[in-house]
Amino acid sequence: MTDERRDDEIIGRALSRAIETIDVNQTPFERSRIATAPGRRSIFGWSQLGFVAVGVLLAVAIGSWLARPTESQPDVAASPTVRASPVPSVAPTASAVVATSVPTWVYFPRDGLPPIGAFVPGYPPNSSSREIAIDTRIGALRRAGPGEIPTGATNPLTSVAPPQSGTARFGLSVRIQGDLATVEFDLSSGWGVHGSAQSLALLQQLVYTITDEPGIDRALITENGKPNAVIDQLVVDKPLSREDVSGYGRVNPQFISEGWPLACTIPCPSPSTAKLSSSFSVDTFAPGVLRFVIQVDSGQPSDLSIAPIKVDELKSPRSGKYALQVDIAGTDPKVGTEYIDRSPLRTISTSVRNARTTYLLGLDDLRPWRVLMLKDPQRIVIDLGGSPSSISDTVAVYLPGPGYPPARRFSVSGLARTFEAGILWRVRDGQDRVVANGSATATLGTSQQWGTFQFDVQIPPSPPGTGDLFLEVYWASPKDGSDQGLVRVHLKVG
Amino acid sequence: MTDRWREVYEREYPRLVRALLAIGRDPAAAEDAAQEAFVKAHRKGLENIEKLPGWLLVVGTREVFRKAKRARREDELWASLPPRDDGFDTTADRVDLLAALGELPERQRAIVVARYYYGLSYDEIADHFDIKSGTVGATLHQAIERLRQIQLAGRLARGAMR
Repeated sequence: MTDERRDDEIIGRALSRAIETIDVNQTPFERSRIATAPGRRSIFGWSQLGFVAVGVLLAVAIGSWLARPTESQPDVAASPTVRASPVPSVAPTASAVVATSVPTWVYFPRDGLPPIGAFVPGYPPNSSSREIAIDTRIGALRRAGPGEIPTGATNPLTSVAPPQSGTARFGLSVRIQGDLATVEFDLSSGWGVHGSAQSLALLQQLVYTITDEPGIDRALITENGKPNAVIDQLVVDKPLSREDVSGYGRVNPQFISEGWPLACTIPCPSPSTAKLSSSFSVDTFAPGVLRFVIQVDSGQPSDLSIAPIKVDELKSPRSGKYALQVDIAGTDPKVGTEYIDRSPLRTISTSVRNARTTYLLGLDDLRPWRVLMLKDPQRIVIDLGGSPSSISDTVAVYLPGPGYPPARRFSVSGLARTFEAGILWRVRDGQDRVVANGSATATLGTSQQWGTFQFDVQIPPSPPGTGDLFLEVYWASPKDGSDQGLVRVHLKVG
Repeated sequence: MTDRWREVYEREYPRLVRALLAIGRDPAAAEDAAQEAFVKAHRKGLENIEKLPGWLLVVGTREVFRKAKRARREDELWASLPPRDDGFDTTADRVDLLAALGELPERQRAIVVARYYYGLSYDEIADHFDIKSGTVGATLHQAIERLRQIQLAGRLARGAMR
């Protein structure tokens, strides 16, 4: 085969896989036109006609499994505990799996970062039961093989033996009350994970995956008929939300409302209808950082507001749990909803009304975010998340990231909004001794917006102690000099 | 007989809908066309159709083209699965590929899907779509080249945004 033909084949195969991942509505045979066509009464009686009407209506909606209609969901009070029985003799062949699986969104933990979502093949249950849907989702996560796990992530759930291998579901007891799903695992041989990092990773992926069910915000995980679960040493005895396990701690949502232009020189240009464009990146500027950029291509926007809102998952089941709503004077020609599915960003919805543009960034969870303004060209930059150990509410260290093996000399960069833009830093060794320290200044001080900073660190030759170093970045309280906004980045040396 | 049709339907229907969706980009039209293709196959009788999968694809494709509305729809169908091999399987690449497919002329779209998703041979495609066998290879190469260009442009655009 020539190189050209081989290249064509590679693209062709990639295209084939892309088509195979399209989520389609699979009208069952009983509701198909050949089974219900007039003159086919010998196959199905007239009583089937009601189903036909329903089937035709259902047939319009593609992706209906992921966006299952919730009207038919059992009422909370009447919702029974579902002991999800194993699907009888599924033992799917490869072709059967392809024919019946649908992309199912689940989460995988990452070292030092919040979990990351990905689609894996799932088996649609023949039920609109949310309890079974949760069981099915965990089953899909359990089966996810190395090829389906995103780079840099793991799947600790594989260490938990499924009660019955080869079944479509995991075999859980799921009970739903309001926004809480209680999920009981029937474990024959424990959780199979060891150490606090693995235990937390497993807990994170379970909480995130369970709460992906629309309307479910909290998960309580229990085991073997007990009211709690003990994952190695980790005792789980209360309902947990994504924010409880993301690693960011309590998030104080920041609301921004600014007049514009923010950094113009007098005389400022008068506001005029601005033309805007937007872009995003994930994990580019720092591990775990989602950067959303609104660029002002022409004109002058007069004002801007940014606030987090809770997503109505029943209306937008694939837009995550929270959205950051950015409202700005000006128009972006690219309206519509874009499905991104790169954690933490699920969707970007852009709408324009009365010469104002609203961007809704659908997110996995509520996590800290920062806003900065850049010039030439004018840009509004919104950064979400990052490594939880590297960010506080006033300091965010982007580089180096945790686990970064620095040279004796390395650069530190990030964002800050500190008193008079002052930044202090020190490096401690494994014995908690300070081996280097210094100060720096950010581009902005205390403000709704964040400024940027960058400084170099020089570690003296042969620091006492061996191995790891800890970079601390903070600022001093003007009242008593105490450390404020401290972040501590664990660096590995040698 | 019913069992035979059920078996055929359950085996072929999901693949057919996906293919028609990739070709026509309209979920409702794809479902409609797939159902129509089955109705026609049913009327004709299994015994009278040679190579049923390709037959269904061609009949369904004609239906899609007939009913296709020009308005392009942003739909969640174009979301996709996690990374794989070949360096072509990042989510963005897959979204790009499907979107790029939509940029091709209708006939090229159908032939690309028939070749790579249905795995039909050049001769089968020529036969089903009523074109010369030699034209199939040239059309495919032209289409893939175009896909490559569109996808590359998408990558560059994304890179430039960062």
